[in-house]
Amino acid sequence: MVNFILAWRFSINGGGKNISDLINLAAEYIILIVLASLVVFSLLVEIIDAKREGKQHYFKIALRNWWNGYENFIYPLLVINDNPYYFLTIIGLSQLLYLYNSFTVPTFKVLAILKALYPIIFHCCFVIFLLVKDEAVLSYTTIACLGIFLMGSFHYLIEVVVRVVRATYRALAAMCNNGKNKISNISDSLNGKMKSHETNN
Amino acid sequence: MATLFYFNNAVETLDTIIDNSFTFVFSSPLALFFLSTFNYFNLSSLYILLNIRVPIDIFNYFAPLFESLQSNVLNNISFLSDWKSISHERVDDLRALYFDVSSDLFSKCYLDTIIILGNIIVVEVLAFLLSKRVFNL
Repeated sequence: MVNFILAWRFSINGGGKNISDLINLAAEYIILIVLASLVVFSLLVEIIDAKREGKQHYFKIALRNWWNGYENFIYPLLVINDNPYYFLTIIGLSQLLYLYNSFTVPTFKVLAILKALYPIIFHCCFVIFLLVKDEAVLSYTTIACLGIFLMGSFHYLIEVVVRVVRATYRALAAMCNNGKNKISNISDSLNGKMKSHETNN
Repeated sequence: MATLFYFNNAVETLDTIIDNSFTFVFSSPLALFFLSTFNYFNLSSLYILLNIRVPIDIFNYFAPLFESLQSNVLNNISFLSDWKSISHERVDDLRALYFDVSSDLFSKCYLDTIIILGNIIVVEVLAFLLSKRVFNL
């Protein structure tokens, strides 16, 4: 998605010289509008469903579920603007909103807060790159920026491994339980039949 | 010498296993479940497109990551595609030219968009078919 929107943004910056380029741009524009509408529509449907079911924090839950979609739209739309302040301000505020939202996560709260903190610190490093000219500060910020990115990468990769292992374990456990239940059902029915046969005799 | 040979073999085998598992994970509907992980790398690498002076170490670290992720996601899973574009690229943005980002719809970014959207559709259809509403009908 990021690639797609980036391509569209770059087309606006230079495309549209002949008819085939214009058709290309129009097709990209229509697909983008359709995708954006689908994302907004799905988010609204999820909020309405959650509200109808009487769930608390329904807006926060919907926002958390659709955060990846929002990021995929907003980052490429802002990043190649010549003025970096738009990107740094809007993305910074969005990340603070996500951090606030992560406090309402019912399970694994610490991990959720950590996952919200990595991009904020990473973002702050780029704010420092923009505002500070001191070489010593810049070198420390570089180390912090790379360090926090690597910590985040490690966290995400470990999470993938844990999720895969947990899903496999649960699937295997469910299969074993099903097998045991079937065997016990068969043995119970056999025992019942034998008892009824004995009583009949 | 023999130890080095076995070590190299082990590394090659490990590399093949990782490549194959990457191919399996990112070319199946499972990819959707790892979208947040993929997003983290993708969006972090986007920062080098910002119009600010970044330290050379940061640029050297994130530029290859950005290039590999933006050129074509499927290149990372050894899936090379050769799609002909319907129009000629007309980009005058310097950063786009530097990172070789195309403005064409039928270009490098087309196929991976289709794959990702296809995965999302498959998962949504499966979720719908397995939902209680369908069984209740």
